[in-house]
Amino acid sequence: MATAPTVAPKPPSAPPSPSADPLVAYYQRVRQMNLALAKERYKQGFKVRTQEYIRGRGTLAIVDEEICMGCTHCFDNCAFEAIDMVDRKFALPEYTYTSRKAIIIEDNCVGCEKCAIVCPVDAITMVTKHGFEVKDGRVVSTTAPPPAPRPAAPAAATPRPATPPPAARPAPSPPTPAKPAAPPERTETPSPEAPPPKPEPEEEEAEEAEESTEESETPEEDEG
Amino acid sequence: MMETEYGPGRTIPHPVMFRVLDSEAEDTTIPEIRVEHKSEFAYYPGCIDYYDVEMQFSHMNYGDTNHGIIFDSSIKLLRAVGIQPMILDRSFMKCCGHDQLWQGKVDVFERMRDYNTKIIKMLGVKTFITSCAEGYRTFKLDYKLDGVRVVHITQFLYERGLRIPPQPETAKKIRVAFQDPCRSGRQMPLDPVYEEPRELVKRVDNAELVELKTFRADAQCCGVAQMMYCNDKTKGLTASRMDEASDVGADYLLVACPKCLTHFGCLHHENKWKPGEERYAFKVMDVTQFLAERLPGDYPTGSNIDAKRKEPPLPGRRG
Repeated sequence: MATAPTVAPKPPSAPPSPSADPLVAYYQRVRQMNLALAKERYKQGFKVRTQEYIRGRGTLAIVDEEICMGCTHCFDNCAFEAIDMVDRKFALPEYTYTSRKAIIIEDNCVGCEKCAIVCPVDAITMVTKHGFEVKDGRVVSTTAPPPAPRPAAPAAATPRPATPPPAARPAPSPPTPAKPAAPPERTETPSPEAPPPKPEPEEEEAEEAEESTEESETPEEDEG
Repeated sequence: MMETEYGPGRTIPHPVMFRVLDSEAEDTTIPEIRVEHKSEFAYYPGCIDYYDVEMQFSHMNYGDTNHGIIFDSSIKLLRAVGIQPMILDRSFMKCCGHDQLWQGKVDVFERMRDYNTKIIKMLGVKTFITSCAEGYRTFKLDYKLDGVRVVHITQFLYERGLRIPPQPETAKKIRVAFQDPCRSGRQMPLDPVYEEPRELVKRVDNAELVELKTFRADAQCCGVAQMMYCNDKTKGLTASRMDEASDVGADYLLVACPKCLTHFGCLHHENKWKPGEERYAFKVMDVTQFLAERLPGDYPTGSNIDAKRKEPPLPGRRG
């Protein structure tokens, strides 16, 4: 099935070489496969890493504009373009002036604290996002209890009706897609069915496991 | 600054590459391995493809530093001395675990070590050739590969008598400096690689080997170990090392470690786009690439053909 798409990108990338020495063909194949493998794994790692930051951290930066002196350190260091510089106007009775301040674009902020670290006057502090709180020095979610995580339930509901054939559910399957109440029941009751169809819960578990191993890692600050 | 579960300093994102390499240790079940060409000589390319992807992702490098060419050049050189190596590629091998070990993640390293040792024993490797200084040290010292000879590729080419054909008359004289990697040099208590790359470079007839201000066991580091940090101080170390190369008037700065190539190439790239920055007019490349370019013929593996590598940097606020 993948023959047509694979043939198409090859001519621009590598000259066709099956006619050559089989050893050379072997080396070429291994080389290109390794490169593709690295890219694929890297993409996956970046996805996991970003999700972990967005979802797991639960913190958000805020700027105290009375302290901020507009030095743009945080602006230059933000990896997620979550900081912008704006000119605030200050109007006194006889005098009007503008002063440059940093603002946080909350949609982009992932709570990595880099801006708070580089701020020379400590104008940036981290607060918990809505739905998170600090408990015993950890940022924990107040809304999602551990046994039934929220992202799992809707994801579980959607693929179920699409892939019923392997499951042993002949009679109730036609009405189920219309029912909103059916999916949560199923997620609780049929335990053997729960693990196979979804990669998502497994990923989350893996991420949690990775997070626990991550504590021994050392940070890196890359500046272009 | 809020105290999170990781502490304040822990929250700076580290390269995605660490995560990718660490995650390789999670699944250590041995897959079904089909190697098309079996040989007792095995070449292990290491993580060079991951460096390429990391550098592109970090917007640090566009087409300057080519790590993947180390793979191509190594195969070309090994074929030039009559060896058709088996390639221990990353579809069944894992990272050697050097970074994990030196960052203190010993459990991750041990999982990788046990897995890799099993694979190497299973494939019946007698001579394990690597082009990476860190891999050389790790496989030689930290692994227990009884009966497997671990060599750096420059050692292997030297003992096999690599001959570089005479260069054309039009080729101008070049001055070549060599950066001794820490891991295969002063941090290698047995069998350090000092002499072999220098001897190989001397076989190129239009190349003159010049020594940097510090060399061999006293050689200054390229600045960064294991890509663990990049700040003003590490950049200062890298810059001072590159200043040494420009002081001796080198046309080429050769390295034998892909990570030295990364860090030199990063600084080279950073200064390249600054107008009026003429200090680093030399090329930085791996010693295998330098030698392979002097050999006739094409790269048997094809080359690193990624169109993105040729594009100029994107316009951005850090430009």
